Amino acid sequence: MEYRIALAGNPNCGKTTIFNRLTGLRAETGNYPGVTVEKAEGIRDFGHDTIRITDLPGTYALTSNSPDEKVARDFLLSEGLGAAINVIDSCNLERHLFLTTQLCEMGVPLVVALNMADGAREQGIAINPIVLSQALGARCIPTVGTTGEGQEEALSAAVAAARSPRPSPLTIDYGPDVEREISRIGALLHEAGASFRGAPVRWTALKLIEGDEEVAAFVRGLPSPIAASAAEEADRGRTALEEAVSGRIEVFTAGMRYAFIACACNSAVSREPQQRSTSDRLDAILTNRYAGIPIFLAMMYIVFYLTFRISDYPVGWLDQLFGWVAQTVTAMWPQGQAEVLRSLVVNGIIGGVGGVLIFLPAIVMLFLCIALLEGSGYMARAAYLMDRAMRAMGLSGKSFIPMLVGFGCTVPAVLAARTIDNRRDRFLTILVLPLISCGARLPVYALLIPAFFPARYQGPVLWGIYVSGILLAVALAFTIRKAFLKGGDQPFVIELPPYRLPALRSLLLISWDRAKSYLAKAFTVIMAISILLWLLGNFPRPSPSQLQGLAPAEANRVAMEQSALGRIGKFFEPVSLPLGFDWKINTALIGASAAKEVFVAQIGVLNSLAHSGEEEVALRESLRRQYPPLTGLAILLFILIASPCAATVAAVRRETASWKFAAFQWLLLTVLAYVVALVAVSVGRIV
Amino acid sequence: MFHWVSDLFPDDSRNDPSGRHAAVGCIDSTEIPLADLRGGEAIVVVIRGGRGLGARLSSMGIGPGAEIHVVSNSGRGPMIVAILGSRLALGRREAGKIIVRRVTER
Repeated sequence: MEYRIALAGNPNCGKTTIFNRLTGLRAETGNYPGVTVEKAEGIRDFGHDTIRITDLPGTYALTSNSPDEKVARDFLLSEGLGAAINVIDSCNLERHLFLTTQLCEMGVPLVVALNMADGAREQGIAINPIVLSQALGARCIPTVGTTGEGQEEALSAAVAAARSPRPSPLTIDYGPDVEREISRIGALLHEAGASFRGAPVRWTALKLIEGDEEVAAFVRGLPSPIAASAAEEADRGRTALEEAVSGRIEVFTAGMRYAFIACACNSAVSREPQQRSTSDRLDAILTNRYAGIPIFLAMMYIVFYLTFRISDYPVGWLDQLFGWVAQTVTAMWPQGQAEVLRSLVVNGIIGGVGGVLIFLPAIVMLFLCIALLEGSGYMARAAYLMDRAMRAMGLSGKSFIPMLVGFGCTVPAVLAARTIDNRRDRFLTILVLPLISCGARLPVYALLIPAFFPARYQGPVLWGIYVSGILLAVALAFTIRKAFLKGGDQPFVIELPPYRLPALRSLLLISWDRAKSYLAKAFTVIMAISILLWLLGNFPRPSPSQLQGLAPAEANRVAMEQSALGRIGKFFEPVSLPLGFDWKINTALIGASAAKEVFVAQIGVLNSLAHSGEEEVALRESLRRQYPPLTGLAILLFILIASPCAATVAAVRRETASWKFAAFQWLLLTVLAYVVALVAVSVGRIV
Repeated sequence: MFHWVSDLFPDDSRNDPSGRHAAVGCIDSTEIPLADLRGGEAIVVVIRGGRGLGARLSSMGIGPGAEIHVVSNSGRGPMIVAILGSRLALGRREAGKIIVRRVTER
């Protein structure tokens, strides 16, 4: 028998740690956790049965105000759900119980995990689980996510709740005025037989009165005229109530919920007087108005240092490894047989895919650092520190995290933008994300910068590219915001969770998960593209008569030109020559528009195919001989700005649910790249 | 002419005009926006502004009658407050919409 259990809770309650412990490597996360917005599911054995556990997005409430909450609420009201485990930070009981009250009112079979029980003990907070259970109508169990304490008990309790008949929903007294309205609307709904996904009538009535958009739309959409009048009455009732309580109705009901919670905690919880906590002391320094931002910038520098310097060694080893593999295959290949296929395997596949994989250590390191910053709670402080600056640029404080993730890979960054509730802000952030120089471009920079610039300029040029990306992102966001999108910012309210040392296990799982998706991208998208490009670059072949009397190098060049790829490249030459791009660069860039790393593979393939008669000439040498440094700069800028890779376009399309938007972004960035590169080259020629 | 550009970016802001003039009693001089408080404790009197903000803040515990403690406020940019034992960072504009009554000085 399979039971479906959901894990629900506020952000930062330790839910994901528990999820990881319960499901371990048997979890399938939505590829990009870290800003746990995607639903994550895992399987767990339980005696003769299995449990399918879903880790819902962390939410503070269950309204229809944000996509997170809607997703969570829909899942909790879904047919197959057995029970939910509400994970709570015991040190912050009152606020976390807000969500609990909503779950109980919805009638979800519930078990409350009083998590971080160790922290609560340290702070002298004593919670009586039995008394609390009675007040809430749901079993309460102390747990410690990092050690697994109480976990099995919570799971058993959840299964027991799933097996038992549905509990009667919690009733909170909202005061005579509201209660009267609830009864009135409830009666109408009952008569109409209206049920929002099987939720209790009282709950549906309350939501209508509170003005919940999703529920209202649902009720209005019902065929019964009584249902429609229920919705009308609810609207009227709300206006009258808001007069009576002098304020918004959902603020009022929230207040009543907290009153209920205070009452419940009064009898169930006792606290010792508190000292100033370590978190507070740390915050005094880290969010200090003078020291805060410099410290933050220093942190970012450390992250990048770790990522790029320390992973240099593993990157070097992998590079050698792939080189060795290529040589071995070449040596072992039977002489003179299926030369074409050998070329495909060695140059196309090993070259193409290997070029991507050697950067895996850097990517993993970056994701690890970000997961650490996130898990420790520092990310929230970073968003707080950056908010003012981000607003000035037309973005929101929460745009900051996706942009940071963008330095690793644009695709998870696009997904991380889900934390931004306001769609306008989110879309704008997504629009400029590809301008943040991602890890996939590193192979290209590593190839081009040393090829065209002397040693002492190399560092600054790389730095300059990164900074240009950031500046352009800011400028673009600002321009679009001011020119086309007026007004409507989203409320900036961010919780600053207590500092924690995240469980190493969690960090590793998260980083591994992201690495997996990077690998998947390498093997599928890039392999397919490498093969496709190899095909385009080798066919159609010129006829033997055209090759007569030519030296091998010449013959190869002719073959290249005649191929489909060469022709496409040449087609664009008139447009690209002002930038200094010949057809070879064009074709490589076409490849790069599918996936950035492919540029290296492609230009390598192009040049080694064209020079295959010679000894292994370092690709850089060949590039340096063919093009001036200014062209190198133009290529760098083009790679930075133009056409987001295929995976990004797919992610953007998914996140915005709009092909138009993805196309708009693609075109905009390509045109922008052309303009910027042209300006740079023109200025460079004058100087 | 370029309205199609802004159409690509859906507008979620809950700017219902009625919200701006939500039923609020007269504010006397002891009631000030949270944004103006440099430190100390206060009790929340009322939250102005649209539905989205009200729902968000109240789900975090910031509602009429709640005790709020100002942790840091530099006068510019977001400020940090403590409520119900946890810390929140609030944008300046949001903090300006929370009307409070001062309880203690720091």
